[in-house]
Amino acid sequence: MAFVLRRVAGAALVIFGTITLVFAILYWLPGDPAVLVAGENATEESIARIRTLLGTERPLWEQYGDYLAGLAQGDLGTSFATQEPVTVRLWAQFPSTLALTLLASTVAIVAGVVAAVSRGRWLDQAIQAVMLFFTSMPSFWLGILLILLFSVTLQWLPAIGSDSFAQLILPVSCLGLVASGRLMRMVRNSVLDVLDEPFVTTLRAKGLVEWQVLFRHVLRNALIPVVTLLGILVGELLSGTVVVETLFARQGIGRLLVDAVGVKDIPVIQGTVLIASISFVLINLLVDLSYSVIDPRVRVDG
Amino acid sequence: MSEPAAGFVARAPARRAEAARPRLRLPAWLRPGLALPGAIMLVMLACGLFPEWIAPFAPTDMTDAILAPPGRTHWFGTDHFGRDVLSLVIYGARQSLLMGACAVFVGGLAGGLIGLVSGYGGRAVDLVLMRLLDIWMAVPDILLAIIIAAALGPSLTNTIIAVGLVTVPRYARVMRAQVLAVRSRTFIEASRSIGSSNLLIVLRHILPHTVSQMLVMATLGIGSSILIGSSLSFIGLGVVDDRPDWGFLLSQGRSYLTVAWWFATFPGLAITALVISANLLGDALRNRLDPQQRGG
Repeated sequence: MAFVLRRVAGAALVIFGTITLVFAILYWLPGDPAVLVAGENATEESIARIRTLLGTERPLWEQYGDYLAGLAQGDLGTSFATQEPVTVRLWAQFPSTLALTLLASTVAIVAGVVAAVSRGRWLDQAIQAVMLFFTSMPSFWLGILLILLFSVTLQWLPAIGSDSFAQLILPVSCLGLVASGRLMRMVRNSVLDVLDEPFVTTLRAKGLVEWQVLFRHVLRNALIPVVTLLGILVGELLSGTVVVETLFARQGIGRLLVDAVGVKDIPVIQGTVLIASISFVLINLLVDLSYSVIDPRVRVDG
Repeated sequence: MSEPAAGFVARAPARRAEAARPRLRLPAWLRPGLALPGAIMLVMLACGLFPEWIAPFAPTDMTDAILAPPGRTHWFGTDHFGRDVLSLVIYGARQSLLMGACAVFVGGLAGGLIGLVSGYGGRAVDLVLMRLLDIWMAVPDILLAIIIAAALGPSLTNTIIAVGLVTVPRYARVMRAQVLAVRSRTFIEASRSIGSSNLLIVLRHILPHTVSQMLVMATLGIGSSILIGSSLSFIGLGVVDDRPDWGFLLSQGRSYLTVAWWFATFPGLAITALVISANLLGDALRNRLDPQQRGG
């Protein structure tokens, strides 16, 4: 229990720190958001009025205090650009990103497990070589190649948009392939490591059938590094959506962020990055806690 | 013993930092050692240093052949201004390599320093710094790079700073782990007992033991730095001036996908080749410099 509490407290501290870090970085932004909101031909007075409206001329600590107080009530501020609450804009984009991330992790996991299980001599090595290639290429370039092949040349799939399922296929494959390179290596290596351990020989000697050894004992033991990577994978997918959503002109949180950066819509940038970081921290917290379920020994050194 | 190809071990969650970077390995029959990745890196370095000797055209040469497919004069085709894509890619090497190398330098220096202080400075300092790094790492890479780059504005220097800052924690972790490992060794004790100052111990005994690991990290870091940097360029927050880098070329080429596949394909190929080479080189280096560390 103390272990769980310590992890939760640690995660809370990290989230608070992240809030502060993002706030601090964004308020270094050169350029006055009021000027941008007002437009190019705005008069001095209207800029000043907008500045008061946005509250950007108050001292920084006061803005920070208000921001924290707002966050505590679930208020992420109001978008400079559209005057909508940031939470509304985020919620509108969230399902799209969630669908993309979930599907892409599924692709990554399935590809990883399939590659690890099909440990044939050359097939395995060929998959590994291909995966090295995928992990080393920028995700947007892989996306471009996919568009070239499936949309431009073969004309099977739509390249852009986010209205139908067909439009989800290319971005999901793109994200999933980049992520599965690492995941596959991880799954494969940890399965192989566990297979080398003495207890596997013992189990076999006891007369257990091979699938029982694999599914009941080996996979359970191989899970820990894989679960670790899952936490990291989600962080990567969250990052990846920024690029992929831009490339495939999809709606979503990443797209919202890129657009907000363009017009220096600070509350939206802040909200987007916070949501992404908080999900990342929470997922890693869950991952940490799940270790003790998978392997009771972990609690001791946790 | 199994072959080191299967040798990545990370069972306990305590190894999280390492687990984040599973080793990139080619199967044995494809593994070129240092030769092939080294050669690719050398060629790219040459392109970065002397593009005017290597490139067949100047990057500003506009010809009448607009968006011409790859052919005898223009091996990689031409872009929407009729410029030679091969030459653009060659000239782009300088910006991309410069960005990667400088970002690694910034990240490695800052991270190394933090790791050193954290590892050598005692428990309280260590605790504070490690929690800070946790926060630092809690913002996913590209998101952090985006907000830093957005705060600073798009330019080569700012891209380097943004990418460098994002990668600080990974260097700090490796440095700290190395320092902690060396710190408790007997020869440090011996040196202290004959009255060496902390500065001397750090410079003479601790740092030399961390060099090989940091070198490996730096080599591996070039790849990821270039990936993050090119993503920034792609979004429009990276290098935007008249000497485009690969990421910028790629994002330009993207607008002409349907009519000129070569424009986006070749800069992407260059990035990928560079990242693969850096990863393989880092991995080979690790095996050479530190055979004991093979396991992870």
